[in-house]
Amino acid sequence: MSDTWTLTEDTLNQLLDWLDPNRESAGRRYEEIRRRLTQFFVCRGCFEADQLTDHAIDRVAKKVPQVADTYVGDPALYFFGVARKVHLEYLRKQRTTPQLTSPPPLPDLNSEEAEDDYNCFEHCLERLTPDNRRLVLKYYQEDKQVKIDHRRELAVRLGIGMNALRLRVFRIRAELQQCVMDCMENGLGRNGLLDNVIP
Amino acid sequence: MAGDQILLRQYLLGELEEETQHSVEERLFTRPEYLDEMLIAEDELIDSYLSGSLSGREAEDFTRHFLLTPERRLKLRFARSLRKYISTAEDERSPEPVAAAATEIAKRRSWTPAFLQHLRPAGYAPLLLAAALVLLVAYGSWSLILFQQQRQQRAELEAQLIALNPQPVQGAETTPATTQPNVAALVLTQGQVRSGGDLRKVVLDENVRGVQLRFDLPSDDFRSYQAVLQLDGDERLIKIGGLRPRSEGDARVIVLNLPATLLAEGDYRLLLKGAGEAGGATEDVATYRFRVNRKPSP
Repeated sequence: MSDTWTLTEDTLNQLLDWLDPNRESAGRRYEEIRRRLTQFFVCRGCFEADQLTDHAIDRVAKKVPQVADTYVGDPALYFFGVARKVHLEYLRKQRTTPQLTSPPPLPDLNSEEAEDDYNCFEHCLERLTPDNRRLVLKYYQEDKQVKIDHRRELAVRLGIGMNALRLRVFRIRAELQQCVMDCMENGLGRNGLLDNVIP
Repeated sequence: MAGDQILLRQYLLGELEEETQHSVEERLFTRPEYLDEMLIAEDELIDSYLSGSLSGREAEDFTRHFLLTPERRLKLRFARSLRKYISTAEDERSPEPVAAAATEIAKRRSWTPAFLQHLRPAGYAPLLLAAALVLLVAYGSWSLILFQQQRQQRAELEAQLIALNPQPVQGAETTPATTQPNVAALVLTQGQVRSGGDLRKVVLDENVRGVQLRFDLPSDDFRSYQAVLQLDGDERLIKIGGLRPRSEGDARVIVLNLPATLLAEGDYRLLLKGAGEAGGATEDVATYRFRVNRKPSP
């Protein structure tokens, strides 16, 4: 993987034009593809998924002037092809630097860290709207068959299908999760810090 | 679990062959909703791991493959907090084990509509308690009003019955009128059966204000009598006490006047009981049956 080439404004504009002539739509498309690239690298077990995503985008952007006029099909598939090559290069590099393959230890479920996480969770939960908070908590109540029945009743009460309910809760959970992760990464869950930092 | 969800789960656990893995990833880039589906599958997989519902092999793949990246470890920590919060909230609203079991049994047998059973979460407990208190007070007030209404109706009925049934002074041999206007008269003899042709009937229309029942006594062994009237199929009893017999020729009869409003259409059973001194113990004396027909208003 070469680190010498950098994405310029011109190349980024060319890339966006290739994705969609409308700049707003192109921006949305770019973000969607970026998320998919990151997910691809995460699913492939890469520790540095964000960096690999950047690298794949750079690689595509570099190629756009050559391929934009001739490429037929969904540009997302071109990104996918490049991502696969980047992944193979990553694997080759891993074989030469085996220290990177050692995963960090699993989170300790009873650690002090768990307490900090819980503080973050409680704090972020309060930041959800009351309706969303109630829905996400109700959705995750109960276990096994009772849980399934419970969710079915919840969907009926909301007048939506089970899949729509699943998607709605997923989005609330994702919002909550993002807030909690930001809080965790910034170490804000330690007692007292949250009160001072987040309104 | 749907086929797509199983496939995604296997993909996330690193259990797919390279070719199938490639096709899943291609969908990730070409199908707009697929990323969300995959992320939902991730959430569900993490929840399953925390609840201990993954198989041995799945749990192994989960830690060996799925949890390799820092992003997913953060997700696991988040899910652990969510799970802890939910279980803490459930513990706080759960009653003691024995009471919980009783509640569960009651819930299974309960006629309570399903939507009321959703009001269980902790946030609703004070609301439910307040609602229960309001209902209790409302029910108490309603019962009191009902009780007062019933007592008033009963007093009115008693007054009507007393007015309609002036009891003869002991020793005076008077015969009540049976030809009063707007009063239907019915003479009953003991043991008349419902199915028999001899069942006495009285027809009431809107002009009839009262019904006079006359029944003879097989023997006159008691100082006073009590009539217990019951409509077939109705559990309620109408009891009229303090009845004294009269003489009509050689017979001893009891005359009972009832307001017509008291009698609904149907077959009646009248049990006559003899009361001892000072209204003491009663003894069944005779049974009479009759039928009331109501003529509809023109």
